[in-house]
Amino acid sequence: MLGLGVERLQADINRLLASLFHQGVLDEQFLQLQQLQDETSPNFVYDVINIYFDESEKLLRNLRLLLMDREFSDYKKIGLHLNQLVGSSSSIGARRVRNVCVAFRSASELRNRPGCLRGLEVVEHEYHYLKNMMHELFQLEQQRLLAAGVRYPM
Amino acid sequence: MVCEMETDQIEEMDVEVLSSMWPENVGTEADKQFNVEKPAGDLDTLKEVTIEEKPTIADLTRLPELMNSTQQGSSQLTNLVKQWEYMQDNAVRLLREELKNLNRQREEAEAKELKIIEEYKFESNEPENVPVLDETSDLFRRFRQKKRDALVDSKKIEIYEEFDTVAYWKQKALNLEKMLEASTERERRLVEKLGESLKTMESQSAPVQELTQNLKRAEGFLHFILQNAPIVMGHQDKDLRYLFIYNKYPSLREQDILGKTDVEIFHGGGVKESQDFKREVLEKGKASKREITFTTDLFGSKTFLIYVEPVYNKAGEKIGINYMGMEVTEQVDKREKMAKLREDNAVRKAMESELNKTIHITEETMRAKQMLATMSHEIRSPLSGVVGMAEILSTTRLDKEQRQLLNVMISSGDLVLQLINDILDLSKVESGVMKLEATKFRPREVVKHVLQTAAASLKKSLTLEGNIADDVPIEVELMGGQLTVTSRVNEGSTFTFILPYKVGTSDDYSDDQDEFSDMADHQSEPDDTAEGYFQFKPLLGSIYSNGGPGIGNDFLPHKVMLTSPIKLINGFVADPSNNTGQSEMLQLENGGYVNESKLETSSGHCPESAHQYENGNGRCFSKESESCSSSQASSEGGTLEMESELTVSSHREEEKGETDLKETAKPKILLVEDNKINIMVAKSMMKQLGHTMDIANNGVEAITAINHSNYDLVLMDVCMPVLDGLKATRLIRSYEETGNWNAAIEAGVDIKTLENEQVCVRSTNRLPIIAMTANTLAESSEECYANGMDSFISKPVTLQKLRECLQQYLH
Repeated sequence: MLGLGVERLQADINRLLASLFHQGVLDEQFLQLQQLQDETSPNFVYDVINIYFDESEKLLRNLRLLLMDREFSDYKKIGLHLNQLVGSSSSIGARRVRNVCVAFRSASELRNRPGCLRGLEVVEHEYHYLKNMMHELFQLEQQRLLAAGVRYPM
Repeated sequence: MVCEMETDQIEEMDVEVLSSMWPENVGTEADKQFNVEKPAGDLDTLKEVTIEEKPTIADLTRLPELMNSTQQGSSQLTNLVKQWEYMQDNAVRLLREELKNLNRQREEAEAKELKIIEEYKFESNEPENVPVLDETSDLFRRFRQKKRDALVDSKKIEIYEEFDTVAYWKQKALNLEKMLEASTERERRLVEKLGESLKTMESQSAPVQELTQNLKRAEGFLHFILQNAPIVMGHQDKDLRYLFIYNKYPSLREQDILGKTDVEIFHGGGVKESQDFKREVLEKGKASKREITFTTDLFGSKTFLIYVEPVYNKAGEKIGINYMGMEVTEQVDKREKMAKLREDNAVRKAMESELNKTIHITEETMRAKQMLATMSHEIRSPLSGVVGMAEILSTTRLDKEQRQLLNVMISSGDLVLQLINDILDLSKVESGVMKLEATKFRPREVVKHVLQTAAASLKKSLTLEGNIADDVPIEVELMGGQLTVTSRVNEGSTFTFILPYKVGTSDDYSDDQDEFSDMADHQSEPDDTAEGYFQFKPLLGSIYSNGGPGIGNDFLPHKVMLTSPIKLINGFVADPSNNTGQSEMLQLENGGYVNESKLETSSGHCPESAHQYENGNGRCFSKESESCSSSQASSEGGTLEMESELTVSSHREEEKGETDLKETAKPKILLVEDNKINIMVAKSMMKQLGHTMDIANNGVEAITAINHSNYDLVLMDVCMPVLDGLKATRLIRSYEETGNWNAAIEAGVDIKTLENEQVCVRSTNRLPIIAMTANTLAESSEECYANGMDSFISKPVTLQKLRECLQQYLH
C-alpha cells in the first residue's frame, strides 16, 4: 500500500514525542519550534537543535573544566554559563534540562562546590538523554521524509 | 535266584532339573532320588474317579529313541528302573532275613534232634558197641546212669532206671519216637514253606509290566489334575515340528499336527511370533516365558503365556523344545482394564486439581478487584487533598513560573483523579453496580470536554474540531436511551450518532461561555417540551493536510459537528440550512495545555465567538459553516494571522484590508540577544509574524544599532556580556532624554556619531524596549521598569507572546 511506511513512521514519531512530553523532557516550547517550520525553513527544528547541541556542549565542557579545577572560585562565570544554558534550553523547550540547570545555578549561587559538581552531573545526564532522544527523532523524521518522498504513478 | 541281579548299593544319580520351579532343598532324599510321581496313598482312589483321558497324540516310534537319547528321557527310564530295583531289593532283603531265620531255626531243630538222638541212643536197646571188657565201660555206665538221673524230668510215672525195668525203656522209646516224628514233621513243613516261597518268587511279573503300571498310575494322576486346566503342552523337534501334544484343539487330528510346525497348523496373529520365540529359545539355549496373543480362525483371540525350554541329548546337542502354554486371556484383559482405570483416575485427579487451582485464582482475582476498588477509594481522598490545596494555592499570589508549575500540578492531579475515578467506575460496571441516571446535561460543555479528553488520549497527530450549531440548546435532557450509529461510506466513512433528546422550552438559548450558569433557573416543564435529536457528525474531509512531503507537521484535521437538524416544535424552529451563525470551535493540537491557556487568554478578547487557532501550517480557521467545511483543508493564503478577534466570515475581507494598510510601513525591530538559539527562534517567530529583525549581540551593539537607525521596537535580553540589557536600556533612555550619548561614552561605549544619521527622522516617540527575562532574581519586573523598560516577556519566547507584544507596541 502506498504510504503505509510513512504512516507507521509518523506513528512512531508521534509516540516518541508523546512520551517525551509525558516525561517532561520537552514542553510546549518545542511545539512552538515545530510551528516555525514551514516551506521557507523546512529544516528549522533540526537546525536549531543542532546549534543548541553545539552550544550546550561547549558550555558543558567549559563548566566541567571550571569545576574540575582545584583552585576554582569563579562561581560567577559558572552562573553566566548556566544562564546561557538555561536560556537556550528554555527556548527550545528542553524543560528537564532547563530545570536541572536552574537547580545547578542555585547551587552555584550558594557557592556550594559539591552541589555544583552534582548539579553538573545531573545536567550532563539530562542533556545526553535529550540528545539521544533528539537523534532518534531526527532519524525517524528522515526516514519518514524518504518514505513520503516515494510517489507512485496513480 | 533273581535277587542276584541287584547290586548291594543303590547309586544315587544326580538328576539335573533345569531351572526348577520349586526350591531344591525341600523334600527327603529318598524322594529326590527318583523324581517320578509316585502315586502315594491308596491306589484305589483313582478307580473311583472317572478320568477323561485327554487326547494325547504321541509319535510312539520316536518315543523310545527320544527316551533313550535324551538325558531326560533316559533319566526317566532309569528312575523307573531304579525304583523297581529298589522295591525288589527290599523284598529280597526281607526274604533273606526270613530265610535266615528259618535256617537258624532249622539248625536249632537239627541240633536238638541230634541231641535227642544221642540221648536216646543211650537208652535204646541198641547194642552199644562198648567194650565190655574194658574197665572204663563200667565208668561209662555209671556216668550214664548218673546223667540219666539228673536229666529226666517228666511228670509221668517215673520209673527209675535203677530198677532197669523193661517198661521204663519202652516208655522211653515211645517218647523219643514221638519227638522224632515231630521234628521230621517240622522239617518237612519248613522245606514246604521254602518251596512255596520260591514259587511265589518266580510267579512275580516282568519289569516292563510293572513300569507300565506305574506309568499308568502317574499318568492317571496327571490326567486327573490337568483334565480341566487351561493348559496345552507339547514337544517339538529342532525344526519345530510337533512330536507330541497334550490338550490340543479338538478339531485337529493327529495327522494335522504331528510332523508339522506351528505356522503350518495354525494361521493368524501370534503364530509366527510364537514360532520365532521357540526358535529363539532353541538358539539361545535358555528357557523362558512369554505372553503371546493369538488370533486364529480356529479359536478366535486368545492370549497364552507359554513356557519354552530347549531339550538336549546326552551329547549336549539340541534336539528340540518342550513347551507349555496356559491361556490367560481374561487375566490380560483384567490387567489392561485396571491400567486404564488407573489412568482415568489419574486424569480425573489432575482435572480436579486444575479446577481447584482455577477456583483459587478466581477467588484471588475477585479479592484483588475488591482490593483495587478499596485502594482506589483510599487513594482518592488524599489525592483530592493535594489537588484541592493546589487549587487554593493558585488563588494566592504567585509569579509566572510558579503559576505555570502549579497549573501543571493541578492538571496532572486532575488527570490522576480522573483516572482513579474511571478505575472505580470500571470496577463498578464490572460488578454490575453502575447505575445510569437520566439527567440534564449541557451539550456544549460535553462536546468541549469530550474533545479535550479525546485529544489528550489520541495519537496527538489528530486535530479535533468541534462545531456546535447555534440552535443547539444549552441544556437538554436525554430521553430514552437509543444510540444509533450509521455509517455512510460516500462521505468518507463518517459516522453519525443520533441521540434523541427533549428540552425544556423555557431554556435560554444564549451562547453562554460560563461553565455554570444558573442551573437553578432552568426548570423544564414536562408538558412543554421540544423534541429533536442531536446529530454528531464527524467530518473527515481530506485526510492529509496539504503541502505534500517536506512539511514538518502532518495534522489530520477531524472535525466534529454538533448540529440539530430537526425542526423543533412549539415555536423553536431551527433550520440547519440557514445556519450561518456562529459556531464554536475547538481545535486542539498536540498537548492540551496549550489550548487551555489559549482559551483563557483569548476569551478575554472574544467571549462568544469563534476562537481561531492556527494549525501547524500557520493557517487560521476562522469559523465553520457547513458549506465551507470541506474546503478547510485547502490552503488559503497563509498570512491571515491578524484575524484572531474577528468572528464573522463576512468580516474577513475587512481584516485583509486592515492588515494591508498596516503593512505599508514595515516596522523596524531590533533584537538584542547573545544566545544564538534564542536568536534563531525569535527570528523565526518574527518571520512567521511577518517581520524581520535586526540582531545585536550585546548592549554596546544595541546602542550602536540604535544610533544607526530608527527602530520601532527593541527586544532586549537582560543577561548579556559586555553590557547587559538593563544598563543598555538606561543608557538609551538617557540618550532619549538628553539627546546625547555622554552617559554611554562614560560607561565606555564607543559611539560613532555620523552626520549622515541626521537624515533619519528621529522619532520623538519613546522607543519601546521590551525586556526578555529569564526569570532570575536579578531580573524582576520592578528592576526592568526601574531601568526604563516598557514591558517584559518572560522566556521562553513564544509566538503568542511576541504577537501580543507587537500588537501592543507596534500600533
